[in-house]
Amino acid sequence: MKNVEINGLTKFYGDVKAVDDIYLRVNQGEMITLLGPSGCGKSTTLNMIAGFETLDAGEIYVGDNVISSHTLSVMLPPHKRNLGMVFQSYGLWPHMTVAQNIGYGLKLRGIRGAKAKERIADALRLVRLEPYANRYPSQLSGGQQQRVSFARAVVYNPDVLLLDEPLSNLDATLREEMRFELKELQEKTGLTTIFVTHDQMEAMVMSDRIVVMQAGKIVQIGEPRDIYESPANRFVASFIGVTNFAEGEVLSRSDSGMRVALGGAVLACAARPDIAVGEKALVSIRPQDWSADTVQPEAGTPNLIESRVEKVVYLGGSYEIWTVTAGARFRIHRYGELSVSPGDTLYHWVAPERVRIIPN
Amino acid sequence: MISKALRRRVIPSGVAFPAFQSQSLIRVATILILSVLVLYPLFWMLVGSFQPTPMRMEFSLRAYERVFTSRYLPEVLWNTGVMTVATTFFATLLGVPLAWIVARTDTPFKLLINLVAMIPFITPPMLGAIAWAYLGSPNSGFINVAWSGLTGAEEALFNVYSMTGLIVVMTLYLTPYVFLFTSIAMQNMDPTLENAAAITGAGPLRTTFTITVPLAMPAILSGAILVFIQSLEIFAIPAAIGSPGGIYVFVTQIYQLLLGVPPRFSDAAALSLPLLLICALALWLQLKIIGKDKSYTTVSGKTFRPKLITLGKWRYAALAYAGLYLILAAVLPYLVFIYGSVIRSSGLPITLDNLTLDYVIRFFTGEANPLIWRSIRNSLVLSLGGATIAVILAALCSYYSSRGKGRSKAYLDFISLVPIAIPGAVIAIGLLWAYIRPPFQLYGTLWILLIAYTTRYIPFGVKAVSSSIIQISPDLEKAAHICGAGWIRGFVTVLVPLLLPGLFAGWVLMFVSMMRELSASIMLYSSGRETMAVALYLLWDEASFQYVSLMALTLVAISLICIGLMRLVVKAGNPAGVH
Repeated sequence: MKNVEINGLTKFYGDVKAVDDIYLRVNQGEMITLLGPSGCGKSTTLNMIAGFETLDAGEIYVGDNVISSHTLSVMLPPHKRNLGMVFQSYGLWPHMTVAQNIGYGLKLRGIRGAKAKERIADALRLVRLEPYANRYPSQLSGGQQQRVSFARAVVYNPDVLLLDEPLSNLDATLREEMRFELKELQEKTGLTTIFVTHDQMEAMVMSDRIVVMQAGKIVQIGEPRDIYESPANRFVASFIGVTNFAEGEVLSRSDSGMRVALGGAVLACAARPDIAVGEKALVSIRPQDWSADTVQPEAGTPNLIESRVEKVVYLGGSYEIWTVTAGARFRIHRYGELSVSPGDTLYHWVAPERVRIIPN
Repeated sequence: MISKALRRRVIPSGVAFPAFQSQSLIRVATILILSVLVLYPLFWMLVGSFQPTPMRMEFSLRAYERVFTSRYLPEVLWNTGVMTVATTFFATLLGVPLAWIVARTDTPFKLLINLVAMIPFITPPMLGAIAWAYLGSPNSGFINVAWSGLTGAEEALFNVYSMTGLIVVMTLYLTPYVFLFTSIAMQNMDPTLENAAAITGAGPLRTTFTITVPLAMPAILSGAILVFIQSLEIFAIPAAIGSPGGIYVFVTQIYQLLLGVPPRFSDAAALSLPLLLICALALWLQLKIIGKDKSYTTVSGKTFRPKLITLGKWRYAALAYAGLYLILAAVLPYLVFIYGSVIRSSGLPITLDNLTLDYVIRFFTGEANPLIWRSIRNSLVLSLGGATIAVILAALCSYYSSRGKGRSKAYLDFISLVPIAIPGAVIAIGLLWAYIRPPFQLYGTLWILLIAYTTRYIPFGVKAVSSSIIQISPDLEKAAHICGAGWIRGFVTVLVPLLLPGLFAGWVLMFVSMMRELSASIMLYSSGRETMAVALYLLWDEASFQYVSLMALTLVAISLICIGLMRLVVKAGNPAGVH
């Protein structure tokens, strides 16, 4: 188990900067997620760490060892990096049994015989597949193959574990189960783990920290809750969860808060030092942060907006209400019964601390 | 920041940049060997056409002058043109319906009809040509004898030694290429496309003509072009059927020039050039069509169960059509050879008195002619060695092509495909010029044949291996590398076992092709270095019907054993259901 340090990592594909000068430190035992849409550079970054891609600038350290460095002309081949990796396609060798798949890396490290058998058995126990040692991968289900792939990656106790979209080939129900299972396995092994995914829910559930990437750059690093609640920009806010965006203008600013005009409505929110009075600001409010009612609430309710219902969508257990008011549209999440139909007037309000100003 | 910079960094020693030296070395070697194999003879063929004799370094255009003002050239051009165009036309006309019958209708005995695809694989063109010479020669041909016996007619029913005969036999043996390409395309078509036509209101027949056939068109065209190239390339049929009737085409004319006293090497080289250019043009056209094929995206890697059309009464007509083809292309020729191997003398009726095993015994004990066993031994040595070398080269070539990118991938794809467009005769002329001189004086040895075979059939091997290599996810190798295996180790422990069926299929395909190779062998063999196909041709020239028949059957038997072995191995070597 070692830490990973990435300094100024850059990769070109032709004229395109696939990865653009990124810096990142992954702590020992930490599970960090590279999250972003396809083409954001997350997989390229992972492949550079694994040694499948050369660097065009920068360096990568595992512990105190440099494994790739453009300036030092170091490019350790993948097989000398002592990493573990779970592939999107699992990459299980179809001509070897489960035990042979897992034992491959041990054999290469000179671990043979009884000792190897023991380690294989331990790994199989870890992923709860003891009875399947002599099966071939094609005789296992997708979830089982996934777990074999995990066991193969961790059995020789690599310095770092790399997970390349390991869940995206599974169907929806299984994928949800495996999120927790993978996280649990990672915690049990205590391995420093770098996980690549485009699925924000996976990232939320599994990571200690999330690295959001866009167009080859890191746009935000933080714990899942930070990323969700204080997105660094419009891209992060829209990529992680659903949100309501509205363009507003800052009316006043004091130590206690700001007032932002949104069409006809005025919203109170926390103050930000970086936006001056009279400037435009992007406001983000999560659908579930709204409270709503059909009757007018008592006077003095902060951030009250009166709007007209456009559409009501049943989501199974909850409703989403689409409303329109002068200058803005909102999506409001409601749990439980609220009988409104299109054309009705809806009163909805939001706590000032739930109104987020996104830097533009 | 400062503390980070001050921390001691350990830089591993002996690390190359970029990584994987052994891999790069082998890649360069592969590219180099392929280039020498393919380009060296072509270079010397070109040089040869400007040189009066192989050993004298002199430049002259006299060979071209002689060839282009010769009396034979217009005739050769005309004959070749008529033969190839007609063969391509009729092979397509016969092959497409046959493919449709197998892929898309409820005609019975489809497994039997599917044998059509196997005919060229099992029966070398040499065999078909000789069999049809025995069947259709105007005086003694079995068909003509039977015809005059039945009707008392004096005129022969069918004279095979004619342009018509040439086209008929060519068509019979080249139709399977169109059949194969088309039936695969029709089987892999997404039935949704046809269902959509049906929902829109098109009947089965209209759907076939407006949807199915147009979608299969790239495959049909590329099969047709392959037939065109093959009809230019095949030596055996024009040699056995055209030449006796005084009909010469490119390849037989080139052979004539070499046979002459003195042999006209540079004229042969000069005459090879236009042939090579036509073939290259055809291949280029085929590649363009295949390239276009991708835009059709009918083949998506999914397996479809195509909808079958109910033919009703017509299914028997379809069966009869397919059956007639099989009889003419396979049943009759093999009957001739079986008859030939046990009959006392050609033309005798089949009675117990007339049957004998004498020839069989003398054939296999080697009493008949030392040529027989010598040629079998030579062929086996050449084909075993050639197929093995070629499959290794093909594996490396497909690997670097499928895993590589950019210019080296494009070059490998190109160089490994080029031999398809080089007729055996042209390769032979090039090799003659290339290996008759130092540093590689190989003329008169088996080596020159080995080089010819390896070069000619590399494309087959590459095709067989790459079709299985692209099914193997690069993740499997990457997983091995991540686990700690170097490039060679990953290749041997992960890729080779998974490729084994593909490697073996490629090996068998090349072995069988090499066993029967005639177009180049006939110009490159020397006394004592005859191969089976050459021996077959020589025996036929000597008119020894029985030994020709036995030789033909032996050649087919060896091919069949090999194909059977391949099926066994592919089945046995696949316990986990890998593919």
